[in-house]
Amino acid sequence: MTRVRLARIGLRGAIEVRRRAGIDRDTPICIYDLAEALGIEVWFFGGSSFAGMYPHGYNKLFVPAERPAGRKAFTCAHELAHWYFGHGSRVEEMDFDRSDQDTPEELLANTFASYLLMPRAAVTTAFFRRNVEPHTADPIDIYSVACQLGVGYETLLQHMRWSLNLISLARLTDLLAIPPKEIRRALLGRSTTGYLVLAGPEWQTVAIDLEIGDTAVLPTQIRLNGRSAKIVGQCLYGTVVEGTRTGLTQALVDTDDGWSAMLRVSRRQYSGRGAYRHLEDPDEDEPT
Amino acid sequence: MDYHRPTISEIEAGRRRVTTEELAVFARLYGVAANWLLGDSDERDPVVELAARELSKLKKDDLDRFLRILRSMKKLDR
Repeated sequence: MTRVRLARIGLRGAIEVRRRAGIDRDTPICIYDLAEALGIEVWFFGGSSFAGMYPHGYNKLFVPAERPAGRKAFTCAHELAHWYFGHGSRVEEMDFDRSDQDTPEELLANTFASYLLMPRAAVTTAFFRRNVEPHTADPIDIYSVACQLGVGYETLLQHMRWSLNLISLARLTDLLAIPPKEIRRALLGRSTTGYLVLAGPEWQTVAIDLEIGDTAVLPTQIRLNGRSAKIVGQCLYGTVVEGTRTGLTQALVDTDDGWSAMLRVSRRQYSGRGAYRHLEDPDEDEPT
Repeated sequence: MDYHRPTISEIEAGRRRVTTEELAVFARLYGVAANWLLGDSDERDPVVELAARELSKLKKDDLDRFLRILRSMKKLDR
């Protein structure tokens, strides 16, 4: 079977899964919530060399707990593909999405994962809401859209170039030359090692998932309602919020055209059943 | 779960018996097989054997931990 044919099957599968879950193609998703909605339990497993697994015959899939947020989400979508297409059990290699390692089933799973997380309508709508054309978007625009779609900066760029044809090869090369670490530094005005979410008023539908110690840049007039996150400062792009303990916190802007989003904070490199990762721990000490 | 925390502590300490219905609730909540909670598991599950082979690059304690979790889990009804 050709790569083009496999890609078409992957695309159709992703559309069908969104349809089953009742989610439009222009809407960002939380892949873990979507899997649970389909009756698939997501489990996070620690271990630096663990890259993911789909055990056939179980209604579960395993995601590596110690990888970056975007990589975890992509792995979850990839394992969901193995479930959807009825593949046998899969144990992923660390670089399972490298094209030179693709078997037809792995290529199919990667295509499915890309289109499930980043359908054309969701990508173009995300840029439209930011009043930006994809082909002129700057690194911060791209980073912001990647956060909202739950994928890594480079993953979004590669998909925009090679699958959606929204940017040129030259533009891809230019944007890849700027590492996410530099973008985070530009956003915060300082370097940070943790995950950083950039969520402005255009952020809708999905919750903002953080681990303890991760930060989010939210609209300037934000107010927090909950104990799992706190405001730690301001930056050029908004108010800086940090996840401080497990649980849920509502972020609100109290204006006429108000905005709100749910911050869901889990332990760092949480291992265990995904559905429980944001449960408050009554034994957890109050943050100082 | 509708259990008070002391009730869970008593169960964990082995001072309170668990009913069949409670066992089913725990298995569902934890996503594990009720048999496993009773100390029984299928050591020769082909999926576990595949994982053991394919995950051999993992550190030994990671591998042992993963296989222990996999053995605990409830499979789909066939």
